[in-house]
Amino acid sequence: MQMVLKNFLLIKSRHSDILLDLVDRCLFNVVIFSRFQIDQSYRWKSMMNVDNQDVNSIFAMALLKLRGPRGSDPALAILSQRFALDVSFGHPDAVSYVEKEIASHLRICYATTKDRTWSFTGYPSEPLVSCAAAHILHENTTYLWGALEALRTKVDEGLFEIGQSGELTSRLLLLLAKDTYVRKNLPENSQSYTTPDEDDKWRSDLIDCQQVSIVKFLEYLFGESFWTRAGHAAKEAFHHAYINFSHWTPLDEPISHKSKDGYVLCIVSKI
Amino acid sequence: MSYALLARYDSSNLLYRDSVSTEEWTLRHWHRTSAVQCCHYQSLVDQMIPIFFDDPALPLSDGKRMSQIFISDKAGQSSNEPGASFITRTHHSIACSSSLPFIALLLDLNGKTKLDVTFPQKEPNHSETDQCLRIYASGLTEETFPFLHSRPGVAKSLRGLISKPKEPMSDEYLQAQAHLKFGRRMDGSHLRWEEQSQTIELK
Repeated sequence: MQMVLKNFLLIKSRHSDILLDLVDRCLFNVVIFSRFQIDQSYRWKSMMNVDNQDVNSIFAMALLKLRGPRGSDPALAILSQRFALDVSFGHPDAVSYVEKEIASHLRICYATTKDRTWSFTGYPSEPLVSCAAAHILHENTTYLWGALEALRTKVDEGLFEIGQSGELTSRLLLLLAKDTYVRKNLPENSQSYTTPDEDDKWRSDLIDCQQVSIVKFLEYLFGESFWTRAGHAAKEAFHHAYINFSHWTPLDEPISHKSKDGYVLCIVSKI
Repeated sequence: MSYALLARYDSSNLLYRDSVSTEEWTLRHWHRTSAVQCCHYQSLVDQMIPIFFDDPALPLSDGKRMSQIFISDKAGQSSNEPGASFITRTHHSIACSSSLPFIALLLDLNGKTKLDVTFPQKEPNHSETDQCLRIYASGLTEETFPFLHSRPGVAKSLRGLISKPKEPMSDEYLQAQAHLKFGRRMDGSHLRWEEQSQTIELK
């Protein structure tokens, strides 16, 4: 959590004049927690000191903000937040779409030019909001299908880019596979979004951020014969391996490039 | 009148940029539970998903326990199966070498249904042969991805998002397109005259 807080403060100090929106969002940013910290009770610690707050009320707030005002359809906003939808600049509805998401569905306006003709916007990496988005996306069996159809309509209209080789579909496929895997043992229409922890409600996992065994996930994704095909050695090699991704975040530069003095640089995007 | 234009948010310049090791980079994404969509000019791969090895036999440092799933997407009509063997984490634009195994996944979304998995072990000390689980998954169908059975209609919706419609490529279409672009000067006699291989007799 300290690492994330440091990053956030760095962002504020560099761009404190243009990132006012993020101040309101720090609530969601500071909840990130590594289960590999020394003491698991650090999770949600910042929330624990707020009067009358618990996991349920914080999550309910994220749901409320993401859904937006009554009567609005958050489907595209939900997909944008988790699957890094790429808005096409030239579409006539692009500006109104983005402005609506900023006003009602937690999209961030990072900056505007001085004459305010250009806006720089996006969904930053926010795991709690991603979990809220996943909760809405899977709250009933038809919502997901409806959201994908809404997305397909807008893709056909040219509002969203799909990538040159099916990148959008790939992102959808892999994250939806994980979504359905973590929910396969939950009762249908379950309202649960944390793993049960009877002893301490602040120590429970968000189900969309919990560790998932790669061995079990690949078996779920590709079928029960997967490890028979891969072989015992492969299964053994990944016996202790886990994934936990809850959302996609775009990188604007290559993963790595050589600096002038030969050191490898990595760009951390939207963190 | 005020009107707004959109601009891609350049996160690398605007928000946060730092120089870190690849281990630290992967670990940060693990902590944030984020997976990465690479930029369009990234070589070899399109996405990265962090892997954490929760193995008590490994060093206590979290960074030393990180590995990755690298994903390459294809949406062509022909098979791209050989491409799975080209994915490597040692390429200079990736540089994520590790002693831990990683996964290379090639998703051939428009291909015929097929799943192929390899885990070579012939050279136990070679980081790129014994440490990579290579998966070639072709065709966005319930046969390749059985979990789609549990979400009726989703596979069809996803197939509709793979690629934009291609222009018809029949001979008649190509000929008509050439005429639309260049007019009758695409006719053979005009081309020969332009190449000065045909003379025109003036009467």
